[in-house]
Parts: sequence; C-alpha cells; structure tokens
Amino acid sequence: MKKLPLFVLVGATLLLAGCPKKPTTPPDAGATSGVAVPVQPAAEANTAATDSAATTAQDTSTMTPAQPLPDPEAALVARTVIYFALDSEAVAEEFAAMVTAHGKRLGAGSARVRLEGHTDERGSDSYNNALGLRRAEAVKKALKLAGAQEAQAEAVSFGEQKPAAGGEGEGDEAWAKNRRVEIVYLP
Amino acid sequence: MNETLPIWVARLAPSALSRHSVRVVLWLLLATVPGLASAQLVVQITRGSSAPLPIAVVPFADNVGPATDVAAVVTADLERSGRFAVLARQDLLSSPAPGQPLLWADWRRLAVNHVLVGRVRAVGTSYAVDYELYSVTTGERLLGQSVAASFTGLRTGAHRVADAVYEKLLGVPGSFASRLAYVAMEGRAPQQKFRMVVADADGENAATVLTSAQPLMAPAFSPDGTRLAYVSFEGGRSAVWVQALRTGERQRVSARGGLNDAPAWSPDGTRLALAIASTDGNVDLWLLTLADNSLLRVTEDPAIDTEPAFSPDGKSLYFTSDRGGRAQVYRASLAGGKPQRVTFEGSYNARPRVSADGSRIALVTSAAGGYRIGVQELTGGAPRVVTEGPNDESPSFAPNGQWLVFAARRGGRGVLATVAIDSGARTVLSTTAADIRSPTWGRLP
Repeated sequence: MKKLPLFVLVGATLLLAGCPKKPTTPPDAGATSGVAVPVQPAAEANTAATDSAATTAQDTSTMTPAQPLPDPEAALVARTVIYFALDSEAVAEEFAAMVTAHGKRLGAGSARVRLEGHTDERGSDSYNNALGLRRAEAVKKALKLAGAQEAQAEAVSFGEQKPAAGGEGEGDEAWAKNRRVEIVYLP
Repeated sequence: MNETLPIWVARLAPSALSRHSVRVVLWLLLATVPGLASAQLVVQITRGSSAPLPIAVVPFADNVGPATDVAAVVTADLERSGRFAVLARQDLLSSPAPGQPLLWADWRRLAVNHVLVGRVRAVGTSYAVDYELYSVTTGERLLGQSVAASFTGLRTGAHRVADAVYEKLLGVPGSFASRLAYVAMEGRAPQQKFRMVVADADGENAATVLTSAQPLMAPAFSPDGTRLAYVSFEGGRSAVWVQALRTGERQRVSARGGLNDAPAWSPDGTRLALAIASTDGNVDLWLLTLADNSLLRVTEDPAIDTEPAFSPDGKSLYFTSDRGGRAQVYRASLAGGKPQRVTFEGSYNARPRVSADGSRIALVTSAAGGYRIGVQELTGGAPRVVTEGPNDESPSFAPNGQWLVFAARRGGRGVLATVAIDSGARTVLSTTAADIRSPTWGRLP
C-alpha cells in the first residue's frame, strides 16, 4: 500500500522534469466564424455532462463507510476528489492510492473522465484558472502513469468560480475544501 | 419596503485617512427606470485627503417633466470623485436658471467657490441640457454649453455635464459618462447562476447582457465601447467570446485545449491577447487577430503566463507570471525578446492594468495577509496600496486614468467599489444581493 503511491509520485516528478516542450500551436483551433448566433442568448442549458458534474461534485472523501467494503479498489474509486495544499499542485501521498485505482480502472476499460481543477477564492481570477489547470494536469499525469490513456482524461479548470459544497465563505477550512480536483466520469 | 430591498450600506474600516474623511450616504431614487421605481442605490463615499472644492449645483429647471433629476446625478458624480463638496440642496438660498442673474453676496455667504445652473429642454423627441458654470470669486461664467440627450439617455447627458465641470475645474477629463461591466453571481454551487451586467459608471441602468448556469468572467470592453470580450464556461470548459452590445450577437473566438482566458483588447480593437493552455496544460500568452482568427505566440515558458494587458502604444503586454517562483508582473515586447520583470516588492503582484497615459499600472498585491489594489508608477518603485482589503480583486482604470473600479469582499460577497487614485476617495456601490466579480471600466460607444 505504501510503495505504490511513492512510485507514482516519483514517476510523476520524473515525467514533469522530462516533459518535452509542447508544439508551438495550441490544439484544436476552435473559432466559429460565420455561424449564426442568438441575438438574445438565453441561459445556457446544462448539458448532461455538466449535470453529472454537479452530482459528482460532492466531497465523497467524507463518505468512507465505517464497515470495510469487500473490495478495497471499489472503495478507492468511490472517492473522486483530490485536495491540495496552498499554492501546490502536488498530489499528496494520501490521495495517491485513490488516483492509482482510478488510473487502473481507466486503463482496464474505455471510460473517460474530465478532471476539474479548482482553487480557493484568494488571488486574481485568471491566475487561479491557470493554477486549477495545473492541478488537473498533475492528476492526469498520475492517472496516465497508472494506466490511463491520454484520450481518456481531459483536464479543465474552473479556478475559483465554483466553490465546493460546504466551501463557501472565508477562512482556512473553506479554502482547503476548495483547493481540489474532481474526477468526473463522463457518460 | 425595506425587506424587499436588498440594500447594504458598507462601513469602510477606519484608516489613516479617517481623520480627514467624511462619510456621505446618498440615496438616489431610480425613478427613471420603469418597474424599478422603488429600488434604491446606496452609495457610500469615504472622502480622501485632498481638500474638496465647495460647489453649488442648482436644481435644473425643466418645462418638459423628465423623470431624471439632472442636478442630483451631477451632484452624486462630483461627490463620488472625492474632489468636490456639493452644497446640500436645502441650504440653497435661490435656484436661478441659466441666463438669470446670480446674487453673488448670497453665494459668498454659502462659502461655495462655484455655482452650476442648468435647464432641460425638449428638442423634438430628445432633450437638450443647457448648463452654465460660474466662479463666485470672480463672477465669471466659466462654461456655457448644451449637451444633447436622448429621451432615455438623460442620465448620460447629466454625466456629460459632470465631466465638463470636472475638467474645467480640475484640468483633467472626467469619466462619469462611461460604463462598467461585471459578473453577478447568484445562488450556491452547484446551482449557481451567472449574469454578465453592463451598467453606467455610477452603477445605474444595470442591464443583463448574458445569463449562464456556468461561470462567466473576465469581461473587457473593446476600445470603442461597442463590444465585450469575456470568458464563458458554457458546456463545461472555458472559451473566449466577443459580444456586440447593441445587438447581443456573440461569437466564440477561442476554444482551444484546457483553458481560454483573460482577453485583453489591443488599442486599435483588432486583436485580443489571450491566455491559452497547451496540450499539457501550460498557460502562455497568444495574440488572436479577430479578422482572420490567426494566432501568434507571445510567451513560451513552463510557468503560468496570464492576465495580459496592452500598453497604450500597443507594442507590449504587461502580464502575470510565476516564472520567478511566485506571481509577479512582467512586460513582454511584441517585437520579441525576453520578458522583463516589472514588480519586485511583495510576494504576490498580479493582474496588471495600464493607465491610458501609460504612466502607471494597477494590480492585485498581497498586503497585510490579504489582497489589495496597488498602483505602481512605471518609472519604478513599489506598488502603492490604495484600497483597504481584505480581498480586493480585478482593478480596472476609468478612461480618464483617475479612478479604479475593483471587486471588494464585504460580508462574504463581492461588491463594486471605486477609488480615486490621487485623492484616496473610496466608494462602494451596491445595487443587488448578488456576488459581484470581475468589474471592468469602458467608454460609452
């Protein structure tokens, strides 16, 4: 139980250090030109994907049952939120086994996840968006080390815009709840 | 009535300025807005350190019955700047109209230096606002002008009068006739609702231009004031959009990879500087030419580069980067070369905005365990903290470079606040119970 998380962390560090410089153009240029757009845009309807995000957005780490589950892997995969220290995108050791379990599960099948990075409310909005993305990318790297394929995990960030349930308000406790990555399985 | 009105009056904490500060609460009836006649806007002003100029603003005579009290709008503007002390209306001894003689002895007794008189006339289907500004000391007429105002735009006409008075007496243009955009968030996650709001610079005439269940952020007016660029998370991931404010027509201009953020307009309005993530999530700055969607890389660094702002000459970008280990402000020349660090004091300096004359930047700076708005001269030195915290964000210069709007946190939510940089006068504008974020200042089209 102890060796695997360490291996993952060391591996992630090596991967970070050895990561080649990325291409000079960003992927999938996404401008829509000449497309008809609504004159009075209505409220954006939540897609099924975002509805699922909403339902999985709860802090399931507190839902560990008192009775041990028969399958320890299932218990790990039931947890979908990774919390981070202040100003850090390092996946803490206590979450390594859980992230590895998700990575193994992805590697064994064709499921896809969206990794939603979040920060606390302090500091400027867009800088926090970039910090949240860093956290999501760190989880993605750990998932890939455990067996997930590149195409199975998408990293996105909401920065400080979507505080966790129970993470509203101010103070260390609320802020710690908001510095997180949520693993959202896509339908 | 009060229980239906989400009114909140801020009490700004005492500071070094408090010995000289006077708190003024203005209650302005939104009588011009149909359906909002009972709503009230609360403005709290904490005057700064410079001695305000005493002035009288006589109620504007009108024979057309407009619902807008032009003199009240002008009064609120001048008070909010912190540079004027407007005589209370009930202390006026007379209410002359333009062209009528002024009783100088009376005005001297009231200890005002200047008197503004005016009138509203119907001209076809619109209005003309005539106004005259007098010096009590010399008896000289300093201004005698007329501004046109549409039937629905009388408040804007009033702001233009205030701009003219401000410029005549202080030698720098006013920016009362201008607009704000901000995001109003309502509800708790995951049932949040985000509205993009465009309002007059005094917070009035607020209009929702976009509503979304997903976050909206980082609005930026085009230099001509006709379009708004912003970030929308509709569909679950960030994209940059540009929306024409008159028609509501909107276009997605960047949806690339994991992050599309922080649009900043080039001074000529043809390009946007953006923060875009590469495939591995590293965020760098790019220039998007709107006419052909071509993209040009500006920075390339494994650190975070974000929150760009053009210099007024369009030749460089100021931006936030943690390439030195912590968030600081850097400047990159669009001609190339290594970005130069701009801020050196403090552990966190981010989200720069450049004044229109290019002499200074406003930024978010760490101070006293929180975040405040700082202003740093580009000739050097440390950021001068101009707000009280504890968690101030998103500074944006008024077009005249004299004032900043920013988001302050009061009572667990964001509120619109302004500060006059040189006088230190601060205001909190509060019109709704929403959590206000990302305010930005722009010109009227």
